[in-house]
Amino acid sequence: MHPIVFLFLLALLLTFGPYVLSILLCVAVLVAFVVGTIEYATASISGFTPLGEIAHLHMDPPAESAKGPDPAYRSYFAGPILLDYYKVLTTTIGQVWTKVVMSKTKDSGPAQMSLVDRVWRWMKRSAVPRLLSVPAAAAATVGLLIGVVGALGFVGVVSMVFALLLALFALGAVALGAGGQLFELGVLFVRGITVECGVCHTRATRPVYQCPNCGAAHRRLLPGRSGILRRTCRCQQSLPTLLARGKAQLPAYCGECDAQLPIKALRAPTVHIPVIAGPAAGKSVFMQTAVTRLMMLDNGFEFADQTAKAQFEDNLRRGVVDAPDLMVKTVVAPVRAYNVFVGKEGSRARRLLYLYDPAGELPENVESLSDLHFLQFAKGVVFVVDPFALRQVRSTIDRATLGKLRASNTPPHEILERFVEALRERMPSDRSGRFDVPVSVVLTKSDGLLNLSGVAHPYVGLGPSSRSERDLAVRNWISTMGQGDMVSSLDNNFTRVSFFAVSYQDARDVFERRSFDQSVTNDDPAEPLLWLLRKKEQR
Amino acid sequence: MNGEIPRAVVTGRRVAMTLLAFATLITVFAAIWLIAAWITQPIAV
Repeated sequence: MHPIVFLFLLALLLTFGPYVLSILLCVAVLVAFVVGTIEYATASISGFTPLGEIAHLHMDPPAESAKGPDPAYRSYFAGPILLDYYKVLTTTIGQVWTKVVMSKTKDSGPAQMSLVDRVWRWMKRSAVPRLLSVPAAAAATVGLLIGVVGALGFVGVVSMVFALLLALFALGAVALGAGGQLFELGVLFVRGITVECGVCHTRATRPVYQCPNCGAAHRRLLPGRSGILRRTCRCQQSLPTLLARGKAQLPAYCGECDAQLPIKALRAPTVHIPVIAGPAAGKSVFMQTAVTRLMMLDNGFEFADQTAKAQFEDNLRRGVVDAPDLMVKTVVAPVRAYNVFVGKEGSRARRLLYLYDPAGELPENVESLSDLHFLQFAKGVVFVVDPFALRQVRSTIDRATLGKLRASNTPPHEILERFVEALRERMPSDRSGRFDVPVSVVLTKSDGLLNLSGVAHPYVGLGPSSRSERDLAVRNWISTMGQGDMVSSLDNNFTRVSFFAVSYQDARDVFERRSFDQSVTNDDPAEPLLWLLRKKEQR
Repeated sequence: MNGEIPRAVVTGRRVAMTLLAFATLITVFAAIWLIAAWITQPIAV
């Protein structure tokens, strides 16, 4: 280069160079920053695409196991979101580096040339004298590097704000889940709502819920790592974690014996009612009749257990309502609760009844009765008395009639004594030795007393009467039949006792019947159960 | 796993994208506010 040209260029560089190079540097910074932010936006949109790849999230549900974690997907916010964001960041940094700083090379040659490389290639190929092109390329390179640092700094700040928002969101979700669970436990505690297994008779503190789609067992269906308000089962079925969100609608099983728990359990307080009687006293017929009446009263009735429903429908098909002798004898076997809801859905009066129908032979010996674990939960007792098991009544009737009436041979006072003895092992009594449990004493087979010479129906001549008058009438009748001691025993052992006279004939409707020339109206067969549920009336 | 994307992930990613957009907006506004405050600050004499 001629010295004069060199001096001219030098003068040009020194005069305008700082301005031109500054502009060049600023443009380079801006270009690199824009490239960086565009790459970040692209990576974010790609990384958080709703239907994007999930293999890198490692959130596959574990296999179903008896003691391991539930077969549910880990919640997206309990880790996978960070893996997604890590992917966004690595993609952004990789792309920015490749596009701005250092070209990506492949074995076959450069695949993508960076801006810095482009600048230096321009410098090499340009006809502009080196004296001008080298400072320009250097300024552009510095500008690009500053722009990259700026863009990554911006990404860093956005990431911190994102992390903060995410932490607040996660904290809010955890607080919502924990608050929801605490509120739920509080409501259950205040309303005294529990659920007990109708087969092994233990309180199911942690029911095992079953996925309605694939049948997978979820042992800890609670707000947690798998989801706060809902979780996703291995089959993609969404399952609620709170009762208020519909968890009660899922099939639930006892954690101890795997028996199915009542449907919609934990939605209403439970009332356990053992129905106690000797063999052939009419206990099963009474239960069938009482349940039929509960159903027909239109006061909110629902079967809470498919077995109970199937049993009830089977009895209906066999015509037990009209012919009680068609009732199948209750087998001597471990007692299973018969679950029904009584009361309109959503009302505070709704109760989940556990009716226990132990075979009449069970209360005949103390050892068997003491095995009846459900007695510890009893909130009421139905004590069935067959009038034709009473000696004084039997003495007035011939053997053929007794056979026709399928009279029980076991005196009820013996059953009561054994039952009280068994109850003492299971339930605390007050200072006077009485159990704080109401007892409905049900005189069954009252239809048999309508046309019996020598023994009158307890309600003969009573007319329209109140519960207390009817209670007194049956009490007096039983005492008159030589069972005064049994009545005293009931009063001495239980705080609240009420007496009823029922018949299978009143299953459809309670009609006025004729006993010789007088009218008699039995108690509604559902009344002994409803009385046990009406605490106010018992006082 | 049957290869389908769980609905919880789909929803979670939508929420995450919204949070990220919100975080970007906050950062941009904070940067503008800081620059504006720096430009308009009174010059100490």
